[in-house]
Amino acid sequence: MQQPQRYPLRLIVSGSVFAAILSWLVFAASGIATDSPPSFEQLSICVAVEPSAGVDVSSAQNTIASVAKGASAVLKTHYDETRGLHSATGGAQLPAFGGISVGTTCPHGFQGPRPGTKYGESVRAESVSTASPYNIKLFVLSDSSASSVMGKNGSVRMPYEFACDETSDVCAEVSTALYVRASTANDGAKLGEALSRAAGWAGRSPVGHPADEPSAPKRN
Amino acid sequence: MKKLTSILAIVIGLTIAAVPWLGLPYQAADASHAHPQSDTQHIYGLHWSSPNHGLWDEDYCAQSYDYSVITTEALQAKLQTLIYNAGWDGIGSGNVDIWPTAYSCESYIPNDSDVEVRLSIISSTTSVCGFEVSCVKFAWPYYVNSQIKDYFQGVVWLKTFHVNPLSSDSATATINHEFGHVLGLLDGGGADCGISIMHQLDYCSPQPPYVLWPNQADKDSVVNNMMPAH
Repeated sequence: MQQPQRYPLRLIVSGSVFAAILSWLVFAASGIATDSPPSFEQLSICVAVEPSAGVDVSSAQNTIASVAKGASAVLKTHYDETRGLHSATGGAQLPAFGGISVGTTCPHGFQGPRPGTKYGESVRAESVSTASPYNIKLFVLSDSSASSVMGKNGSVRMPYEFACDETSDVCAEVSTALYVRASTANDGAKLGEALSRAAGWAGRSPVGHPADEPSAPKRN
Repeated sequence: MKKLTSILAIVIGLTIAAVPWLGLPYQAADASHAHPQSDTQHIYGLHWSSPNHGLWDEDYCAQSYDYSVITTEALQAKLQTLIYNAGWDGIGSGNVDIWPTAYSCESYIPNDSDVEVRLSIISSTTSVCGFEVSCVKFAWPYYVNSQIKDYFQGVVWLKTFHVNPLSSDSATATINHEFGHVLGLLDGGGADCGISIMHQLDYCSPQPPYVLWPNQADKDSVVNNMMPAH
């Protein structure tokens, strides 16, 4: 009576183990690898203040880092809005807001826009293979620099660095620079809005130019 | 009983054997262009459509930084003809819905405006593309926490040599090719050198026929590979 019970169990176990080993061996030998599932972590931000007369840079960076952390609620609100819109229009469910992490030191220190950025170029001239730490580099400009960089606006974003495919004619921004005035950097609500816009979570409108309309007629 | 047990063992074995293969990315059977760019390198708006002219349409501006050779106005006129003739506009049941802006690119704050595609002519592209090529640079990422999902903007740099005169086949082919990058298609090459706007002379050996316009297979590739909601 015992043998018929042991037989199917042995067959199932041995067959499964054999099939699994064989399949994994073939898979490994094929050289095909699955992409690792993306790790959705916190949006990371670093702070760098433009050195200028009378400003304690280290102290200012600590202060603004605290303001940025306090702006997390504003960022979450905008992230949740875009996340909801994404799924409501047929997209996949995106991960929940993971919060933000804020560092008081940027990888290359304070970096002003380099000449030629009217062409829409990155802050860092050389392309990279991988992004430097921190998604958004928050650069706080002195009043004298702010007007020349952003006119009357409170902030402006730019690509911080591009990664380029060496075999192709395509590059992509892999980290972002956000330039703000000191008055924006010290206002949690304003800073939250600017960071949300830099992350692509807020502030978009159909066309960029004020009162812009497409030239008509468009087509027949 | 034995037979049932054997079938059960086979089913379990096959299931376990299939496990490592399930994680492979799905490639649509009717995908015609085998080289879509990475999952992130296309403009976000192509996934959606807006009634009339809205947030999810693709607005483009034009600008010449080599004005003595080609004017901004001439480029604007060329793009109007090119995009709406047999180009990319309208594919995916209108998900790609391309509109010209009223003003040139210089009217908009670089990298901080909602112009999805910026096309500029410049005499030397080394400073912007790294080499003397026409190129596309994706800007303004849409971050999902710390990960980049898509881009809101494609910045197209057209080398004057490639598009002068604007009436040339080279100009038509170059602009349509770079716009294909904006929509997520990668250059061909190697074994993938069929007739495609993405398979231009420099990437294939033997060289394919010179292609001026995106064909139906190119458009299907954008629709099948890049547009599905994700």
